[in-house]
Amino acid sequence: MKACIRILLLVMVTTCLSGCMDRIDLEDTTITLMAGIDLNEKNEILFYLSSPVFSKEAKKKSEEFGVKADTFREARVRLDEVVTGITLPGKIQVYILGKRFLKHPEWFRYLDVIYRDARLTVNSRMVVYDGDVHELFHFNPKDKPRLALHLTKLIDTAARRNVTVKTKAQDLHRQILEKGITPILTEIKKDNQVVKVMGIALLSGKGTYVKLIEPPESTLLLLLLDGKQGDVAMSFLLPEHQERGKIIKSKVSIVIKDVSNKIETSYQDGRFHFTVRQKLKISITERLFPFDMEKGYKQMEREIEEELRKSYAKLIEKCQKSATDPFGFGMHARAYEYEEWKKVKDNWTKEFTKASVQIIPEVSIKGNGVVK
Amino acid sequence: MNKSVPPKLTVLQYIFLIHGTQVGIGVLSMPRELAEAAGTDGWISLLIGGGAAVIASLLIISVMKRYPNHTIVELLPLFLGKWVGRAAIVLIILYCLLACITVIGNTVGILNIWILTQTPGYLIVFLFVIPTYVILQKGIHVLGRYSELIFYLTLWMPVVLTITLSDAHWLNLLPVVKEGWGPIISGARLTVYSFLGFELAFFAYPFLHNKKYAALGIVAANTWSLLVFLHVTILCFTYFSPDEITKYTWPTLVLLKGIEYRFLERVDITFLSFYLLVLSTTIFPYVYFTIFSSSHLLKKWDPRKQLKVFLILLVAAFWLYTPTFMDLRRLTELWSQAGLVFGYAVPLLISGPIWLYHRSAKGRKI
Repeated sequence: MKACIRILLLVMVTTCLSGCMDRIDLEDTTITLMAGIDLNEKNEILFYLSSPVFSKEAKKKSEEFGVKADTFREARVRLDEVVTGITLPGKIQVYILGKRFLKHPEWFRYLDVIYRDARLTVNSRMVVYDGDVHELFHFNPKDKPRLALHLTKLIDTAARRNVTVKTKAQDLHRQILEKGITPILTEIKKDNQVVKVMGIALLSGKGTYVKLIEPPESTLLLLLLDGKQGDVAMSFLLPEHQERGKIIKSKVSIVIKDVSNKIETSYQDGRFHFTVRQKLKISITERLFPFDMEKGYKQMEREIEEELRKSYAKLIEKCQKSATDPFGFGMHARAYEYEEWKKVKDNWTKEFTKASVQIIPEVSIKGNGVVK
Repeated sequence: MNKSVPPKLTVLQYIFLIHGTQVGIGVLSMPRELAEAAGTDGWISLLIGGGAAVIASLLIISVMKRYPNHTIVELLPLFLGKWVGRAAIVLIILYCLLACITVIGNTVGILNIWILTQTPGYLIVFLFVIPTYVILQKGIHVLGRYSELIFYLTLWMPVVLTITLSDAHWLNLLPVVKEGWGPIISGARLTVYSFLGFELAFFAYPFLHNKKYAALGIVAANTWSLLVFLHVTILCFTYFSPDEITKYTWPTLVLLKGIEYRFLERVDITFLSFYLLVLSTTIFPYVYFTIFSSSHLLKKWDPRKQLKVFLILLVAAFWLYTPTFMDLRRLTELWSQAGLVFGYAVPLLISGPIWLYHRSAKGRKI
C-alpha cells in the first residue's frame, strides 16, 4: 500500500516537472535573429523583425516583417498575427537602429524591454544603419547566408580587425548611463549590393547620434580605449621618404603586437589635463621605400610616432569639437580628481571640450619581417 | 528529529551549515543595495558587516559554551520560567518562520521572473517542499551532510562569475572612501541580513561533536561567507558603471547574462538553476529549526507530522496568495530588522548577565 502511494506520488511529481507550464516546442516557434527600429518622415516608430524559415517548401531562407507600433512588445504582438509560430525574441543577434531613429532624443527608452525582460539576451550587437532600415531587411543577397547571420559574422570579424567596435546591448546600457563616457556603436551601410561596415558611430552624452569615425581613425580610438584586442594593422605615409615624380607612395605598414596606455590625470587652471603615454610594440610587415633599418630604426620609430601623434591629435580634436568622450576620460577624472569631477559630472561632455588631452606614442620596433 | 540517538555534527558540517544559511538571496541583490548606500565603497561596508557578524557569533558561542548540551529552546524556559520561556519560544518560531517565508518568497519571485514566467508560485513551492521533507525528516546530521555536499557541488560557481573580470573597469573603485565614512557605515547596516545565519549557532552548538572548534568553526563560516560576498560585490562594481548598477534589481544575475559561450548562450539561467541548491541550504535550516522549536512547545505531537503539516500549509499559503514584489521587499526588510534583534542584540544583552551570574557563582564556590 505504502509503495503504491509512493509510486503514485512519483508519477504525479514527474508530470508536474515536464517543463512546468512554460513549455514551447521548437516547431511552434518563430525565432527572431534580427530586429530593427527606425523612424519615418512622419515621426512614426517602425519595428522590423527577421526570422529564419526552416521549411523545405519555402523558397526564401528567412521571413521579414515591419510594423508601425509604439513599443517593442506591441510590435511583437502585431507580428504574432502574421508569422507561422510564436515569436521568440530570446535569440536576437543584431539590433539595427536607424540613423534617423538615433537622432530622436528619447530613443534609448524604446529599448527598455531588452533590459527588463529577463528572457531577452543582452549579448546582441547594437548597430547603426545609415539609411532606411526597411531596405536592409528586404535585402536578400544571393551569395550570402541569411542576412542576420551574415551581419553577425561581418560585425564580429570587423571588430576583430579593429575596424569597428562591437557594442553589445549590455555595453550600450553601461555607456549610456555612465557619465564619464559617451557611447559608441558599429555603423553599417548598404552600398550597391553589399552591406559595408563604415566604422564607429559616436553618440552624444545624451545618446543621440553625432558623427561617424571611419577607419583608420576608428582603429586608433579602439587602441586608446581597450588596448590591443584582436589584430591591429595600420599603414602610414612617411612624407620624408617620398621620392619625387614617382607614383609609388612612401608607405609603411605595421602590425601592433602589444599596446599599453598609461593615463595621467590632473586638474589645473580650471580644466582637466590628460596625458596618455601609449607604448606600442610593433612589427613592420610592408615597406614601399628603400631604407636602412639597421642604422635608422630609431629614426623610423620617431617618424611613426610623429604620424601617430598627428592622427591622434586630429581624432581628439574631432571628438572635442563634437562634445563626445568615447575614450572614457571622464572615468579617469572621477577616479583621480573626484572633487573636481563631482562639480562637472552632469555636464562632463561640455567640460571635456575644454580639457587638454596629450597623446604621446612611444613606438618600439620589435620585428622587421623576413627581408632586410 | 529522532531523539533516541543524539545526532552529531562534524566540524565541517557545522561550518557549512552556517555558511550555507548565510549565503542565500542576499548575494543576488547585495551589490545594488551596497551601491545605493555607499557607492563603490560598498565593499568596505561588507568588511565592517562581516566583522560585526564575527563578534556577534563569538558572543553566541560564549553564551552557549556554558550549557553545552542544551539548545536555546531548552534554555529559555530554564532562564525565564515556564510561561515567559514559552512566549520567547513562540517569538523564535516566528523569527524562523519569517526567515523561511522571506527566502522562499524571494526564490519564487526570482524564478518567476528569470526562468519560469508562466508557472504559478505554489507549484514551485510544491516542488521545493518534496526534497525539504526528504532531507529534514532524518534530522540535523543529514541536514549537515546536505549542506556540506551542496558546498562541494557549487564550488564551480564563483569560478564562472570570475570570467566577467575580462570586462572589469577597475577605475570604478577609485577613489576609495570618496564620500567619507558616513555612507559606508549606513551600508554596513544593509549587510546585516546577508550575514544572518550565524544565529543558528544557538541551535547548532549542542549538536556539534567536537566543541573545541565551535568558535573557530563559526569564524571560518563567517569568513568564507564574507569572501563570497566580497567576490560578487567587487565583480559587480567593476563590471557595471556606478551610475548603472543601482538600476538592476539583481546585478549578480545580470552580470552572468553577459557571459556567452558557443555551446551555452544563457549562463544566467543555468547558474540560477544551480543556485537553487544554494538557496535550499538557506531554507532547510530555517524550516528545520522552526519545527525543532515548535516540537518543544507541542511535545506530544510527532515532529515529523508537524513538518508534514507545516510544508502542506506552506504550499497552501502560496496557493492562496503569491507575494508581490513589494511584499517581498517589506518581508526582507522585516527579517533584516528581526535578525538585527535576534542575531546581534540578543547575544549582546544576554552575554552580560550570564557572564556576571557565572562569575558570582564561581566566587561563591571558593
